[in-house]
Amino acid sequence: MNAAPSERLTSRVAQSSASSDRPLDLLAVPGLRSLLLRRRWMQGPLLFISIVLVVHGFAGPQLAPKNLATLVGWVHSRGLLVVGLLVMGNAFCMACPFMLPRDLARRLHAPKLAWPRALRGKHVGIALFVGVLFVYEWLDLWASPSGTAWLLVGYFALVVLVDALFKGAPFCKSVCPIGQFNFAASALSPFEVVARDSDVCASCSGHECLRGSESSRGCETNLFLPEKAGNMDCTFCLDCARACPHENVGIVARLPGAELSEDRSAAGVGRRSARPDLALLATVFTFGALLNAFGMVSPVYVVQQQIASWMGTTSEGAVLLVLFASLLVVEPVLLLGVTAAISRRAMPRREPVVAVAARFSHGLVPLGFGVWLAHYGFHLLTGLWTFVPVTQKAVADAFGVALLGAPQWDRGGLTTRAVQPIEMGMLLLGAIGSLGVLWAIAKRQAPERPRAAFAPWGVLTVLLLAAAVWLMAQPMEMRGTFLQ
Amino acid sequence: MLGLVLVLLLASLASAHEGPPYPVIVDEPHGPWLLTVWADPDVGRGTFWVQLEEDGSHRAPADTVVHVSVMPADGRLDPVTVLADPEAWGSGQKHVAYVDFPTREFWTAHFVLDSASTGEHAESVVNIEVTPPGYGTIDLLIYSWPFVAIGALWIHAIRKRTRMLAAERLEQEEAAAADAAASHDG
Repeated sequence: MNAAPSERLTSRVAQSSASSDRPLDLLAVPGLRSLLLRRRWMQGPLLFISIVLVVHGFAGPQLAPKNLATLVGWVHSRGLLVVGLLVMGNAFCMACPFMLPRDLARRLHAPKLAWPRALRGKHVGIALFVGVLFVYEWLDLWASPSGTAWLLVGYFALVVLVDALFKGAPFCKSVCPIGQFNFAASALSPFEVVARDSDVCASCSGHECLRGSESSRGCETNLFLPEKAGNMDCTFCLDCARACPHENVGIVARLPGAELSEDRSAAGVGRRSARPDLALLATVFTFGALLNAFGMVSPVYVVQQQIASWMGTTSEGAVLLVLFASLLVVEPVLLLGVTAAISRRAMPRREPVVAVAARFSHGLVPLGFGVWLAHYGFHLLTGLWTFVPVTQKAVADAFGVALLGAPQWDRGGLTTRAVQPIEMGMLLLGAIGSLGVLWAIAKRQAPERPRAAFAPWGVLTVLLLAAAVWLMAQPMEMRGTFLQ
Repeated sequence: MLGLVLVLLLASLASAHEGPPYPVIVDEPHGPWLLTVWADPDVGRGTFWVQLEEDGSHRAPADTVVHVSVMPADGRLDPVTVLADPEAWGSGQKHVAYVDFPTREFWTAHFVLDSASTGEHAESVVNIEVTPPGYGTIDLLIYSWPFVAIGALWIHAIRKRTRMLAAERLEQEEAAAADAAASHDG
């Protein structure tokens, strides 16, 4: 028997806030609410920095460690992005600089078209995410200031083009590769945008959080707050909080990763089990983390040479294509397929292997996030202050006077010695989180024999952890330094 | 958060003499050369990357040869000289030299640039501190315990939540079954 809509709505909100009596709510912290609700103070400076990166990328020195586009673009921004996800939530999307020109474009040209139904999943975003990873390696973007600047320009152009033509927020929801990365990783974030009081939502007839109000637009990614579950598709833009006339929206502390093991029907997202594209995103997110880290270490060159001699080619693109296909298609298909085939034996209902693999693939996201954190954290922490001398030099070059002082080239960051334990700790924590989430999924999928269903996934997690530890122990290219 | 702040504060204190490679000479003009040197002076094997950039007034001769000599700063041992190997590197030149540093102390590094075709010659000297390389496996295991502790708490919370949700689900199913039975009886 189906519950009435109002009962269902109440149930969603109650579940969403059931983890503890009064969890920390960032929007209830004095001073922080008005700060977070005013998004422009974050977007404006980021837009300015983006413009500086583009200009310096084109006009500045084409030596990567002396150029802000490559240094800030690849070393600092990626590190800060994952740290933001770890300590709060989808902070980058909250402060997304691409939204300012997009909003301006929409004022000049109101979108009239609906985003094609066939493109509404995550497939376009996943393809672009893989494409960026590929181009990054192929064209050595970390070493190419002008290439990085072109990528930024292309990004701005794509945002404006998509969102000036199509209604809603198709770029954020379906196209943006950074956004898809953030959506996947924010499942591990400690905060979530939720409705504070279910009774208030139950008695609300305006549904401004979704439809918008006179003063603010509603959720452009179609997340009806009372039925929202988890961080998927939430950009932390807080349009819902601005629109809600009851001030019933909070950014509330929650258990990181819990949403990965659940299969509730969530507003704007649906059930995870009915979304193969989300399973694909989880898989690409996890194995892409290993692939991206592999591209940084010395053994990759040996592998590339072997592939090149085997193929009889000198084309780096062709070699990379084989490498990507091996690590991002063949390896996941084999590993997830075999693991799922063993695991499904413990399940009461023999589902197809693909369905089992899709369910459990979400459990690998914490490990994937651990790898991204370890990798990007390494670059951020070891090159933390390198932007100082490069900025000093850029300003001196631009104005002919050392307004910020002479470049302090001895500004570096934490030592490798200090960063190594953090790297390994992040990997370990990610693996532990994966084991916890996979166990919860196994309990749900095979309540009679959870250990048997979990065991193969536990083994796979340990194997992937070992691979990640090996990768991080290899000499890593000091990208963002003179040594790349 | 406190830990993160401490880590970031420490970063500003960490001088570049330990850990990852760091610049010891940056953009030092010597005749046709614009010299930059990065060093990774670990006990055991140390590495120097000698970069000769090009700009409007500097263009390194194609036949540039780089020698690197090292000796303890107190001068108690004779200098050891190695020829740096040229490597492909963007528009400028990069020469890499590997040297042995048997002890942890201050060493003097001496860089000599020569070009036979132009007869140009240049020298530059720096003092560097040689430090031990990174952690061993046991050290890393010891330092990983805080992460394991957080992980244990995390697992505990996930298991607790899983049990709670399972209990809720069971309760709802029982209530639904009771409702169905009551309506059937009615």
